[in-house]
Amino acid sequence: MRMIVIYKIHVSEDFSATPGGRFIADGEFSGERFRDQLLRPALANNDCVEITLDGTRGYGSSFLEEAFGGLIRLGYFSKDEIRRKLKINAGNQSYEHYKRLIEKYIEEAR
Amino acid sequence: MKKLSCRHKKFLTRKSFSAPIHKKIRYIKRKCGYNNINRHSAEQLEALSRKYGAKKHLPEVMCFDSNYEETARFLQGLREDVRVGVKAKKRAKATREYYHTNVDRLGYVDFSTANYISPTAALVLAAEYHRSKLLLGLKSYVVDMKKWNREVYSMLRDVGFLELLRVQNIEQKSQELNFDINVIKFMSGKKVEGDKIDELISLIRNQFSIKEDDSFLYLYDSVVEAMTNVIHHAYPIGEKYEIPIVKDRWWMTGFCLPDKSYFGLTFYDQGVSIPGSLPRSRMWEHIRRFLLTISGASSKGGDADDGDMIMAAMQSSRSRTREAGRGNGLVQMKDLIDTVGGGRLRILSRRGEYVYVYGGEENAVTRNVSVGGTLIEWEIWPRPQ
Repeated sequence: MRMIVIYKIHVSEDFSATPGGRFIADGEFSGERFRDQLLRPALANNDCVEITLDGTRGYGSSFLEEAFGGLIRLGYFSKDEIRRKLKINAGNQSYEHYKRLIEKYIEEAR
Repeated sequence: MKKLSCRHKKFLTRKSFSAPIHKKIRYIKRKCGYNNINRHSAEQLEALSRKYGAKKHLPEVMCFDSNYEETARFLQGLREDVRVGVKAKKRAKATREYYHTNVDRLGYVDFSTANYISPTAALVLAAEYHRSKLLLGLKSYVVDMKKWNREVYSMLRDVGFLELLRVQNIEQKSQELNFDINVIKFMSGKKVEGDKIDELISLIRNQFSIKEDDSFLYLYDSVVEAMTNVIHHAYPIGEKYEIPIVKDRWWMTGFCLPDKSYFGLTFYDQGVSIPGSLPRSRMWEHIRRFLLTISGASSKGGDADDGDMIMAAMQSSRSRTREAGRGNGLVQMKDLIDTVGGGRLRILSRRGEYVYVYGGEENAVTRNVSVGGTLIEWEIWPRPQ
């Protein structure tokens, strides 16, 4: 039986507690940088990627759209692949809102 | 100080002509006594002001809520000074003349006439002086500070205006003074800087002892989107700016009422404004359709319907660039008010003013004078603890 490898990303610890901006040119902790440096390699090399949203100061919609919607928009992965591989964790009730936003951006991306 | 004759000055200028420009300026300044400009008395400054430019007075009430026209006109006057200064500087550079950047060039502003200044107006005032400093290297001086209204002094000190002007011996904040509103020192930047928002939010929380809740989470989201909008839309490349700008620059501050009935954050940029950027966008036709539903008429062009333009931009769920996934920024700013369960969003952009109050009430008007960019003010009414 094949073992499923779960790769965990804790945004506030592995990336930044203050993410923001869409493109790398916008700022240091942009959605594009998060997608290209962490998310994309993790999805490409693992069966499952678990992302924990808690602990940050918040998330701008541009950051979330570029990081997650951008995966599909730019043709890196299909919606099905993302649905199968990506798991979003929002331990704190306050972060549920961002989880819903990510799901929305993935659905709307084309 | 030895007084130099005109002939001698010309001789010195000619003599130093081949020297590097900074050495030449320093030499002439030293010989002509310009280095002593710091020691000018109020009377001397007034005399210089009469010679070089009109003296301006701060409006008695400097506030965008209760005295919009006068406040905006006064700030427009400051911007005009920057325009003139930058033009003179360019001319001086082209002709290799010495350009002295001191206050005598532009006249000075009398601050003793003001009785009240709001945190938002104080931020815009600081931003204007900051722009002058960045573009002209303008050295501004403060005179007759003892004549200033105590409340105005406190507000300008707290917002960081006096520090910007490098005023020495700034009075410490007094605990006894309990003014209408407390403010935090302004922050400025040219990128999306989440750490600065975090710092400002932490200062609001700690200084005003406000309990941490979801409001701060969503406030961060809104401000980070405002910063992103500045980088993407506020200062387009190729735009012909009437007043010289410092590209991608934004300013922000936080404020709170002593009784903690509300706190807020103000964000300002000196860009082309929301209505100014819409007609060039690919979604202009979409916005025009919104305008038709709001005002029953198509856009008149210019800035005559700026209020409606902001309203249309807010109501539109899609972005101005029409690329997939764009256009949630303005919506997120508005959503914050409903999510936190009380508050007000106010956007002043060019001549337009848009206000959204918790519960769904929204209004838009077009003012007579431009605010000189885009000013966003979030006012949060914390839930009873």
